[in-house]
Amino acid sequence: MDDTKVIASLDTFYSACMDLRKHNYEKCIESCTIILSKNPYDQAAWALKMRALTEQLSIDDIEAEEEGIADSYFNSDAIAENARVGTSLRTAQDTNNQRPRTVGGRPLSGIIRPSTSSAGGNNLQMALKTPRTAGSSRPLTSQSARNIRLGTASMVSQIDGPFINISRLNFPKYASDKQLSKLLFNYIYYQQNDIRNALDFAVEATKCCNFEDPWWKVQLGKCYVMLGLLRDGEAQFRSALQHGPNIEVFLRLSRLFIRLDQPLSSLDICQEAMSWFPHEVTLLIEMARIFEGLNNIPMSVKYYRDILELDATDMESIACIGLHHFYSDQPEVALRYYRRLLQMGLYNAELFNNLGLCSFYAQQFDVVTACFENALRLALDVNAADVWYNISHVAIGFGDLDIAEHSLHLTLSLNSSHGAALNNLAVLLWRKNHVSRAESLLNSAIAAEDHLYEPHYNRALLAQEEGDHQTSYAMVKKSLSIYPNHYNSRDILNELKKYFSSL
Amino acid sequence: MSLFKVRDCWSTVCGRGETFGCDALVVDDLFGAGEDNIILGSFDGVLRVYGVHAAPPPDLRYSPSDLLIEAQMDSPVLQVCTGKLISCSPNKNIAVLHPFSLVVHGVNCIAGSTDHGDQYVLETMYEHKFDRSAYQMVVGPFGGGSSSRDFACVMSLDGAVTVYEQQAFGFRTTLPNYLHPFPIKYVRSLDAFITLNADLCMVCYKYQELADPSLKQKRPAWSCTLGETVYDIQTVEITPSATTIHVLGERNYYCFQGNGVLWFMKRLQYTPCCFHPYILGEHPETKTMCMIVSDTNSVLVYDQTKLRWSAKLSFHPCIIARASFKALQGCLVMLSETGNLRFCYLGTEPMIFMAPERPIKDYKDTKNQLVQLKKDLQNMSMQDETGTLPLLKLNTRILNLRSVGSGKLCDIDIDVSPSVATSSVQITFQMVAPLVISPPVIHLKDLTESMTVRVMAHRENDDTESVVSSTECTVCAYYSGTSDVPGSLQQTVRLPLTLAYEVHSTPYLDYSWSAKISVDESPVALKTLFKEFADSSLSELCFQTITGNSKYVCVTALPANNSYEIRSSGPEYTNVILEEILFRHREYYKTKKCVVRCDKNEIPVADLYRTIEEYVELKGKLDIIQANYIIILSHIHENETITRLFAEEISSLCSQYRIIQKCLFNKLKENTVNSLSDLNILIDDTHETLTEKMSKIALVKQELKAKFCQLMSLSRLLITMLGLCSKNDKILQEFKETIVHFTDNQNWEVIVLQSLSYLVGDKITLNVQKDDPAHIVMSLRTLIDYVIQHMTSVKDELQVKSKKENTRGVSPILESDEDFYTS
Repeated sequence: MDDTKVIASLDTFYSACMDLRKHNYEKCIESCTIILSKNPYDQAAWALKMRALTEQLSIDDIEAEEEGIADSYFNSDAIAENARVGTSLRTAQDTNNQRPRTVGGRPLSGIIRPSTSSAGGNNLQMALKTPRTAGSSRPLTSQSARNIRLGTASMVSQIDGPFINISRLNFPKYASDKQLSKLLFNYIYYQQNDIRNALDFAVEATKCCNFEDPWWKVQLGKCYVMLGLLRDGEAQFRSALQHGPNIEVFLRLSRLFIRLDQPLSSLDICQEAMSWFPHEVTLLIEMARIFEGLNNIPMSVKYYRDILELDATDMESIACIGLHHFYSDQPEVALRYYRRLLQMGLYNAELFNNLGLCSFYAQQFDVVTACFENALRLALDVNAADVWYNISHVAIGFGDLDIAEHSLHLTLSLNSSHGAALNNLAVLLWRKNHVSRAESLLNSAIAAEDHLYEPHYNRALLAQEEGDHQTSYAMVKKSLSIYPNHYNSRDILNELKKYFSSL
Repeated sequence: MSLFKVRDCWSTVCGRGETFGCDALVVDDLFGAGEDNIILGSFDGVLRVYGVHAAPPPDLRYSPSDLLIEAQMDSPVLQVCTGKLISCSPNKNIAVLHPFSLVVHGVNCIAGSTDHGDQYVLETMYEHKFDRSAYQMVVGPFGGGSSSRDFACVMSLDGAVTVYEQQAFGFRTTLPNYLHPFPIKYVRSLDAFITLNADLCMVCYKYQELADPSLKQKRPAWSCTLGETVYDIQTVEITPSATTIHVLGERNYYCFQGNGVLWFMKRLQYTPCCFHPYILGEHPETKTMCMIVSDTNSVLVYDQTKLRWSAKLSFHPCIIARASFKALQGCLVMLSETGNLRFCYLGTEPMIFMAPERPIKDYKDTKNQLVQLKKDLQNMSMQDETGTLPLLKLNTRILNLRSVGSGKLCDIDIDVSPSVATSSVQITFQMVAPLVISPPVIHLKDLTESMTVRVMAHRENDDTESVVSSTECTVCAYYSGTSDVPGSLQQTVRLPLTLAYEVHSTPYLDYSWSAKISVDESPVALKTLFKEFADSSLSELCFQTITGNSKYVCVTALPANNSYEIRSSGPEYTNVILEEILFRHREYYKTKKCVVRCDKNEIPVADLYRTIEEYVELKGKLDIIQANYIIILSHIHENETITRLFAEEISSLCSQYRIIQKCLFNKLKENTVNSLSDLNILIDDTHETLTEKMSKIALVKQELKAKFCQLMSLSRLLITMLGLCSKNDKILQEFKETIVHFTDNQNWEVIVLQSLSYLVGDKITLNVQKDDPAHIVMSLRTLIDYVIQHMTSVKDELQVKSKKENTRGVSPILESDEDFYTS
């Protein structure tokens, strides 16, 4: 018998099921469409298509969470405005070895995550005042572009209108149908991203199963969190945990507390979860990230090390530990971590950039050029600015100020609001006695990124040298408000105070 | 991502273009030879059995004799299983699941006597047909008892479970709460089946429960909510009495003990594809291992939840299993969807990622290039001097003058001729008030050939008073072609003098101002000089401005003194005539280099200052009316203090008006007439006051406009005459740019003051309080005096600070900077 005939005798529904198991979503949807065109009332095929459409677009929504500005502003859950040091992500202590901070104002982590900027400013004003550049804009609401895109993408792929018209669904009927309700909820939540309707549906469904199914409680909590009703979400999650421990619920609860800016509660939740799931990597990562957010780097690194014990291929941990070593003046050790990442097959501009910097500080000058060449070759416009900025550092280290100046100019041509580059260029020009240019550059550095203390300090120094004591005083005050323990700023301040009192 | 890579030792491609499912492969020792066989079936209906006989690696590779059996069935093979499915036979048989039948085959080995080796023959033992499309089957020693016999259980797509007790039909039942087929497995220690129901719960049904026909409602022995669909379920027997159930969900990997207690679970940070749990070691010290293949093509080996190993795969398998051969114990068996079958091992030698080789560069020349680049950078000027020719040509022609009503119009034709197709052209005009061009902007789209545009030049409609200070008109064209580089060009034309002046036949005698311009050559006869005005040769020509109240300018050519004399009712009316005389004189003596001079004492500086003063005063007046503040002089104690109350009078009037209107409406609702009478007076009064105020503002604005035109005219005259007195062109140009510019809504005096003080630099220190108008006028006076002095005195040269192309660019401090200094 001919092969093609044999395979043609396969049941369409069977091949659809098999395609879904093999992640061939398109084929599965196609097969289901064929079945449904023959028999529009085939519930199994209808549900299977729904599953395929959902799975096609579903993402790990715990990872992709991001808090928008509006959410943080309209957050009605009272949080102490001035939380005690160490109890809030916003009032995280400054440690002595300052890591450079991102435009959003967070300490630079070893890895970029969706929520690395989530605890940006103290309030809406701060968040809005944070200079807006192409690279630092924050979504206005948590219905971020990513989520919205997912919702709309589904529409595009279906030429003949949406697969299910949510607004015309009979919610009580489907919610009571135990066979379909969960699949349908997933479809509404993940595929259509219609949180409000998903919530209505979940409320109906949980009523139908007498408020006993923990799954529905979690879904209700998810919806509440998406809608910003954090305390309601917390109640649902906690209630779900009564039925038994679940990693996902613990993680969601921890994220929820981070949104409430209660990192310590979040840590408590994680600790509790760890007693149930002692070797769970995702929980450890969560804790490490929270400690990093609290600027408790040693604890963070400890957890990252624990993760590597359990999963030696976790890139986030390797990168973060590498970063820690780099900023604690152990570039040789950092180099080993970064080299490991390279060996594992990570191949991007950031990595080569880090390798170049590490080898420069570890005095392995022979590879520096090669690393930066690679970095430049792989860099996109977004990160090329940073690569050039680092090259300028290397050039300053080598004493070739011409090259440094050129690299800084290139940085600024790629990212005109690169505060650090503006500051460094100002210092270089100052050395050349272009005082007025240096002054204007420092001013633009302050305007571009006002969370850096260096431009403030430099501006103060410049003003003092010029005899403009008032400006100097204002600047040094700002510098100290950002970095209270900066010794040189204090020096200037004392001098100025002496001067003013002698008047 | 990992350092390591899975190494192939044996690989083959089954068939050509065949498709395999997720249950298509089973590994079992068919012949009891201590070596595993690989049995696989494809959707194309081909059943294959492989056995490996080769030597250990590195000699282990595929040889054709490894394929023991290859048989074509007449319907697709969904799944293959092995088990003791023939009664009273200890041999293992192959059960093949087709969509509508279950066929059990035996394998007979015919020992070969030659080099070909043994021959294997497939023999169909029995067949069960059914009419429900099958999904999966399970083979196992159901119902307890000895492990010497196996039954088969077939789950169909609609949720029916059929058990065949070897050759005999056992029973059929349906699973409750069923929607989609999920993998079903047999748990031996519990004698139960385990699968996922539509409520996304793991459910475990006892065999006895299913087999009992009296029980209509089948109750699960245990269930556990997973909340996600599962990709696969596998069971592993640690001992015959202890079975572990491994479940691969969408995001989690679960491991249950046979009694339904969750042993451990792991949240996966990737999307899994397939997995294979297995046991390492002997009973007391067993380790539960699991291999999971991720969708990023790597295989991860876990010891419970701890990652032990991870390695990259070079292809995408849909089934992973583990087999043991004499040559290689515990090798990985992987089958891809397209029939790529491989036996692999986890290589321990790291497969380190090497960054692709950089292209080798020649650095010999780089140094010179850098030097050259630096040189270029230094030489680079800020002006963009692209030497490309404009792609557009403009030709402006002045047509005749027309009289329309009381005003005069002048038609202007502009020929636009593109050399290549331009997509859009925009033409704008720059004129000095009170002359305007209508329409002010012209847009042309998709221009391919020459075309002519006609515009009109005329006085602003409502402006009969203002002085015309210049007749120059600049035509600017901006274009963008197909190549994205936009371009621009401009052309300056002089509008005819008749637009602003007409000849006054009777001489006028009362001139308040006069100036003499001496030339080297003999002055041109007025008849030739002003062809359009003079029809006979006169010694003097009298012009009359076309304004509401006429002013007169008289020009006399004095051949005896080699000079022209201009007399007028005021210096502000002469600039256009003077410019015209200079232009036409130079035009007449084209071949020669004309030298024209005038006396610097005749420059109407005093008039300029007076006008500035008046202008500023007028502005203050406007401010007071418009903005708004009422000055109340109050005598507190002995000091006279002026308190300014910032009350926005007009806006308060307006709001008063609106409130009255509202009251009116409210009263109207009452439908009584007499209640309206007092409001009537109030609203009339308010309205009157408002209109009065507004017309006053309009009047002052009009006056201000006229005064500004006068100011412009005077400043232009100043420039023109200075140009005749001084040779210092550069400063003159800068001075001109400083004081002659068009400001619609900005404060002329403030800008000029700023720019001039920048131009003069630190030569003169001014003490300016910012907001005081008198101070501004005074300082302007000082500055202009200084500049004029420096330009007219021969030796001095004003040291200009630094070359900047635009001295006007001095802007007041930015707001952000201001608060930055104060805060």
